[in-house]
Amino acid sequence: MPRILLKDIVKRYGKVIAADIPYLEIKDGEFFGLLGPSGSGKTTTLRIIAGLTKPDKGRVYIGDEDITDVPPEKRNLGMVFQSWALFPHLTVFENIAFGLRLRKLSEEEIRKRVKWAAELLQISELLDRYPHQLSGGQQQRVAVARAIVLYPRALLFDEPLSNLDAKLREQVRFELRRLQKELKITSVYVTHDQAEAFAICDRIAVINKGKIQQIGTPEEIYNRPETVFVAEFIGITRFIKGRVEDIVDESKGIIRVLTEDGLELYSWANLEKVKKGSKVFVAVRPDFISLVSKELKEKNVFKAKVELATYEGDVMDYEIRIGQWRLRFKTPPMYRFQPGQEIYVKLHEDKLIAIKE
Amino acid sequence: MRVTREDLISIIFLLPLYIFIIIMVFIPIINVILGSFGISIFGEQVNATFTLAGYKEFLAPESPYLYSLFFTIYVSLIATIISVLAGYLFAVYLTVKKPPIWSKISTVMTIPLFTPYIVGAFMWWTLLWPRGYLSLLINGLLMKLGVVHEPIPLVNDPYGIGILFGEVWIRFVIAVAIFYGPLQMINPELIDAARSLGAGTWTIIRKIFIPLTKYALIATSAIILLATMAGVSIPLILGGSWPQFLNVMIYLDVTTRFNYLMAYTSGVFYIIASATLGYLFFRFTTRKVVLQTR
Amino acid sequence: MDSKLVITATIVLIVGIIIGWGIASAMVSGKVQTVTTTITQTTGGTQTVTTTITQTAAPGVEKLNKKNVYTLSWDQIEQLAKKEGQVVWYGFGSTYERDFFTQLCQNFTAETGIKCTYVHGSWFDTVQKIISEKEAGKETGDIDVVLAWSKPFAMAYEAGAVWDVNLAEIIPNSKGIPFVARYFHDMYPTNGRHLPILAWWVGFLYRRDLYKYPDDLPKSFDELLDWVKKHPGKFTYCDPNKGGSGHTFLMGLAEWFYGYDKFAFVKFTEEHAKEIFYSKGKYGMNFWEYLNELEKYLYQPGNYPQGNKATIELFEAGEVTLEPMWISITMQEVKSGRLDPNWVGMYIPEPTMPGPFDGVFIPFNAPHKAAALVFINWLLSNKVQALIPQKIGAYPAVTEAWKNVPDEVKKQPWWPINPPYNDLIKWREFGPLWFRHADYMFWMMKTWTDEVARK
Repeated sequence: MPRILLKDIVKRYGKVIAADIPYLEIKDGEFFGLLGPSGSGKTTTLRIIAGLTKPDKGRVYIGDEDITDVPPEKRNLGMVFQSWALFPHLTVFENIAFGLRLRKLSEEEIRKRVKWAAELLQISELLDRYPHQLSGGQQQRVAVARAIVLYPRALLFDEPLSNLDAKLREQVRFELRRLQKELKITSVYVTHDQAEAFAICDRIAVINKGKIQQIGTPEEIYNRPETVFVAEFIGITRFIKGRVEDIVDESKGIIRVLTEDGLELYSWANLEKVKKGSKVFVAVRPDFISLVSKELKEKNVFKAKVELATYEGDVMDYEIRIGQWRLRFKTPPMYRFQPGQEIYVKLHEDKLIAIKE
Repeated sequence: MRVTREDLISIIFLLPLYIFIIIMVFIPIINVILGSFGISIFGEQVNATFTLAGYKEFLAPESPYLYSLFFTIYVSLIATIISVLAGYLFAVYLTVKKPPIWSKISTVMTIPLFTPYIVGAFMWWTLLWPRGYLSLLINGLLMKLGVVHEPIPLVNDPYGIGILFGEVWIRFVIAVAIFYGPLQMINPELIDAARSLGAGTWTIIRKIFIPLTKYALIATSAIILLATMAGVSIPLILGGSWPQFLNVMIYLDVTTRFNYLMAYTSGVFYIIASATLGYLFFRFTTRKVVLQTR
Repeated sequence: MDSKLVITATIVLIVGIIIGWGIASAMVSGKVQTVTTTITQTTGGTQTVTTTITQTAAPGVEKLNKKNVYTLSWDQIEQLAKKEGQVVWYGFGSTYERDFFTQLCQNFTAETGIKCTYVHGSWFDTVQKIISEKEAGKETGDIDVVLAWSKPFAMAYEAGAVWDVNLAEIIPNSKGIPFVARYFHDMYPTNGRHLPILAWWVGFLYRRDLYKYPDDLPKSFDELLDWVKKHPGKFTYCDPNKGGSGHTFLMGLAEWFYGYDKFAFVKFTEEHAKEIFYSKGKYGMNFWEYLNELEKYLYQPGNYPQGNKATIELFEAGEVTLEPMWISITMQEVKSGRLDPNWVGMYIPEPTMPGPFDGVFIPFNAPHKAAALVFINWLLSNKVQALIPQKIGAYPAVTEAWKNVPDEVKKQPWWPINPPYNDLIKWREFGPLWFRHADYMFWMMKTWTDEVARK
């Protein structure tokens, strides 16, 4: 299965830049995610790969072949749409066979392939039904079957699960990943749901306003976000703004930050970008915070006031305030702190991420 | 069975409609049918004398009336086919390509809808008569290409060319207007999906648009066919001495020859032809429940 | 379920019949006034537009009836007319005719004090209206004088909708009309119930700048076939079903082809018509064969211009150089600037061209009969008759009036140049005055479609 490469791609609609990608390479056989909020350009990028949208500038490659000028119907890329786009006037069988018929394959070859795809997606008993007679999950499977039955060079997914309910979504996620690994088809997956992207994808590109913010594995993106946007978009993140006073441990990348209201905290930073005196946003996630029993005279231990408390069954979700900064914090449900209470928390310096402003 | 209060209320509400239909539809049709046999309730000959002379004359071999009827249906069919095909393809073009100029010129394109038929007919006559701009252009082109040696008449001609120009001009716009809606309702992702599966534009039209707008096609064709058959202004102005539309013959029979018998008889055949064609068309659309675009 | 349907149907049917009856009788009986119509084509002229009027019957005056009208003196009739005080005239034609008739009405009002109202419309609708009023028994109508040609007059007369009085005897100025025209219209016996007031005429319109009369033109119908063979594509005539220039020309042609005596006041039967028209006339052909032969050399053979206007437009564009055309329309086209007067030449081909003397009749239920008589008499006065050629390009019904027509008018190129046709008085005295036979003409028009256009 070949790799996909985008070079110098630019697409504008009027004054709005929908996509501006100097370089993006999707490796052979990998399940690649395009993650971003609505309107970030991820669907545009996908459509450019598919050939449904023509870029203003730039080239698209599959393997070594430049397919920028090849019309979409000749690119042999399977695509699964958000609304699944099943042909309402055809049976499930005919839907799946649609592309095969266009290639003028023999009847038995068509039947063989459809059977194969249907078994793979576990919809063999639905072949005689019409799309309107199927549930959402079933329709989605038919859409995938239809795409893979052509043995495409790559699979493109445009938020295919967003029309399903939450429970089903979680279930299907794993199935999709399992399928992709089995077939070993290079796949590109567009979504705005971070949890989904993390569950399915090998690598993810976070996109905002048409530009790629960061590419990396889910761990890299989660633990080492490179921009404020990525840090904020991934997970539940709050920021503490401050200035770098000095670099404490160069080998570990630990710095000391002073906020304007006099808080001193230690955090990790990418020392190639962050220097002494830089203004930084320190990203704090709930899992970077621990509860401590009393006022320890240690670094990064602070007194916090509980502002809001929400019971979620398996956790307690709090909003706490340190100085002027409001942070999110979670504990097991046995700790039932009430708003107004004061607690002591420690912010782990090696987990905090200081990002240059 | 007792008639309940609800029944009475629904009867009363529907009464005006029924009365309207009886006065405006049934009674005139019955008048025409009776008149074709020589019996007349309102108007002319109050002496009722049953006669089949009208039918004899209409159905005589080589009868100009019979030929007129065929000519009417034939030309209307051609006009319908051209309008529906061109209208459909144009509406598909608008749906698929979404050209940005469309929003600016779409109002201009609806002008034929607002033009009274007779004004449109005269407009085409001035364009198509031997000294009309269009006639000079077309004939000049044809002669240059060597297709013809002398200018061919494009209006008042024996093939109904003039009539076709006038009719298609109006019906084309109607076709586009009617097809545009159902085509817009088709999920645009269906088109993308078909493309990604390897379908070219022509395949998409054949396998996706047409099946999903089947009923619109049939219904529109029926509407346009019946409207073209019935309209008299265009064939009157743009038609030739021979052959003529049957409704033009009715007009001439009444106003210059005062021959009501043949006019009624022609009317009966008109009604039969229209009803038959209408029935044939609508039978195939109202039978099934419409399962269009989802 | 069933009984509901039955009850509904019964109620609806009863109510429908009651309402229908009510509407029908209300429309025709005295109180509610009638509406008028839309654009129609007439055979002699062009598009017309009508206006609506609402009028109630004149208050009761001593009524003129069929008997006393003969015994009263003309002065008494004039006095009655003044008492009636109004006259309503319905006419048709082009905008020139409309303007002219309106002007006449105003002149009449100014001269006599009797208020004249002119309504321009379509002869078809006017006659329909009167006939339906007769059938409904409406004794007092709104129209006093109707301009109509032979066919609609015949229809009205046969329906009993015409005031059954010999106008030719009563109205003094009618004596100036040629005798035959007083009692026949397109050879239909009017018994004087219809009086002509003008004579629209068809002549051969030719390109005066290209041809010299008579050398370059078919002086008579005998020469027509040869001429078109020598000048193919230069001659055409209007579809006889769509314009009067066509059917008048064909009538003249038929009368020449078979002889005027075959048609002159001969009773019409379909068999006789077939006998005449399918028999051999000239050139060893029957009429249709002749016309089909002629067709081969016409402009765009097989394609006849649809209407008088269309025909003259071909002439104006220079596409044809000779065609039968109404003198009146020719004049109007020149006056409107669409036709170059230097191109206009007119002559009457021999033996002659027939023509209609169109005129007026009084409906049976005219509310102001005396005023109508006075008005018609005024229309036939020399003074008024002399205006007709100048204003609308038609001949006066009263021959004498030609003397009063100014010379500048007579000099215009749309009047025939060949004697005796260049002088109306000589023409009516010495020249052949032929008429069209309405019945044969209609039969011929219809058969033309089958025998000539279709072939």
